[in-house]
Amino acid sequence: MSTDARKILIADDEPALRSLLKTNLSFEGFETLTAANGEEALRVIREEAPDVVLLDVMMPVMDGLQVLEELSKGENRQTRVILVTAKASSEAQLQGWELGCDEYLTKPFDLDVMIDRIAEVTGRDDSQTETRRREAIENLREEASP
Amino acid sequence: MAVRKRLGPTGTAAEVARAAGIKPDEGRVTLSQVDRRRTQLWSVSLFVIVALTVAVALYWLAYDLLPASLQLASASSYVIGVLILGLVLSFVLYVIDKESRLRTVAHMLIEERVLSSALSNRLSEISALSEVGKAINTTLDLTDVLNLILSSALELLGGTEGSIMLLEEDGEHLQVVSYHGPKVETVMKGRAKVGTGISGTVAQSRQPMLIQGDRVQKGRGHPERGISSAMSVPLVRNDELLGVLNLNDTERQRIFTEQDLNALGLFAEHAAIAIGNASIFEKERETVARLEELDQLKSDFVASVSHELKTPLTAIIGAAKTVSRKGREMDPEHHAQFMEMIERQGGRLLRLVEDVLTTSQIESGRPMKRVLVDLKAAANEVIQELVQTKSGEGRTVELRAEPDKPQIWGDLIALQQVMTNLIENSLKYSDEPSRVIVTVSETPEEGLLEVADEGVGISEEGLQVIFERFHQVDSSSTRKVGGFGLGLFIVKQLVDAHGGDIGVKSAEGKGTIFTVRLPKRAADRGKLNSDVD
Repeated sequence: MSTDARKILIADDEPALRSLLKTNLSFEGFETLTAANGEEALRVIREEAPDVVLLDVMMPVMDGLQVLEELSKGENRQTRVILVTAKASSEAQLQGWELGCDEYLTKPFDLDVMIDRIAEVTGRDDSQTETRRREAIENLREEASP
Repeated sequence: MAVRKRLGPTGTAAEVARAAGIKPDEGRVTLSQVDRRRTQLWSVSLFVIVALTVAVALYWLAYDLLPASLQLASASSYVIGVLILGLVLSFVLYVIDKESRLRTVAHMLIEERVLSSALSNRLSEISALSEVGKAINTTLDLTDVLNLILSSALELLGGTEGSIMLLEEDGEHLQVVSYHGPKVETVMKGRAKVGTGISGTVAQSRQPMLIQGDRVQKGRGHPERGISSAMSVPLVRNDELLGVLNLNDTERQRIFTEQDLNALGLFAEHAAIAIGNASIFEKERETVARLEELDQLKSDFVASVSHELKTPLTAIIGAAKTVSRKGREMDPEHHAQFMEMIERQGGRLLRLVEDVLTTSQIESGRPMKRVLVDLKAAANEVIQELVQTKSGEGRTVELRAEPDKPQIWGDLIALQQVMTNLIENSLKYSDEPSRVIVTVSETPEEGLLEVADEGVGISEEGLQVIFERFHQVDSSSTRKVGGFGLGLFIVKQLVDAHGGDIGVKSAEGKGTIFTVRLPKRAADRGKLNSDVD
């Protein structure tokens, strides 16, 4: 990875949250991009290849999970995906992980945690990414089964 | 009893039979025993007659050869003659007596047989009806019960086909709902008009009808269907006509009687009960389904509320956190931006909570306060408020008033809420830039409020549900706008409370026009809730 500033895409249909995240991530020295719906997010990811996308689930035109599914189809995905959503149930989380997200944050989120997670996901290599995903899915499945 | 009375004091068939010279077999006398006895009696009589005739003939032929003592006119021959005559007479009397007794026994036996067959008919009738009764209590499916009633009636009463017809909702037609017989395909589609045909006539008069051969020939019934005998009884419950039960015979095997008609009437009573039960059950099922739907809507509502509340909360918590993390090094411009965000998102949160509160208030019924409302001034206030918070993004709201000052009597707060929700709704579903036109006007009877937008419009299906609680036309995860789906429900309830009505016209992609008509004087319903169930 280059030593340039990490490029982060903020995909959320809520203008207030976009502006909140944009300002905070700029403070942390990240380069930020924004998208107001899933389709736009997918286009920006393909054109700009950001390092991380903070992806909301409930968005117009195309929802976050559909975006994630599209991304997971392609080989060698460069962009790490952190789902940021109000959907907090284990089922929803499991669905997100199974579609291939790298982290899952529920709204309202803690900014410190979010910034830590961004650092974590960009620091992982492919096998670490795999391990994290597998562990998360196992944990959630255990939670789901009584 | 009637039989015994007619026979007088002679007693039972067995006693009479004993007197007639028959030994009852285990206390029972059979018709064949009586027959045998009669044959014996007649054979003996025949034999005696033949013997007497032969004796007289021989006497006549051999008269001249007989000794004088045996010839006529002798004293001893008189004695013999009288004796023979006496014997013959008493034999004849004996035969007549026996014969009359035997006839009585035969009659009694036949009557007994008829009685016992009537009894067994009655028994099978009772057992068939009890089967039907059991089915009514254990089977919930009306079609099954009606089919059973029909097949039991056919089995018991004979006939080649039967049908149950129910009165349709229009009260003018009867529809076949159950049919047993050879013409299932044609009959099941059958429909009769009340007042015509056998079923129609019975439905109209509510009197059972019995049709026997000659009446069929006179044009009653359906000669083309070859009906030779038919019965039809009305199904009535609580003075309400439900339908008709018919049995027909097309094979000329059976001519229905009054008794058959009475029995069919009993089946009809059961059918009416079953239909009544089924409709109660159906109503219960509908209620349960409605409650389940409402329950589902409420769960969706809770999920939607938590999601909707989380969005402004996320922004508020995030903004506060940003300020506290970076407080000192933050430039004033960013600082102000986050403070404003907290305020605006707080306001949004408040409105969401108020929507929920208003709904629960409407449900519990707040007393209505009626004042003279200047529609233009009221709308203007609402628009000013909304413009400050909403329309900064290229959306404008235009107010028109015709005449200048339309007024009605109503609840000011409720009316402003109606305006707020409608205008907010229009803004929410409009792309920027676009405008919303609010028109207030009056006629001698009504005040009018119209909110027209150039937004996304509402689909046909959407128009069906927009005024229902918790319904958002698009509840998918890709929906464009947030909200609880309460806004238009609240509008509808408040307008109803004023005795007014609300209409909507929409074209997808072109825009939507909501029109509210309010009576000049709000209907005095006292409370701001109408038919919330």
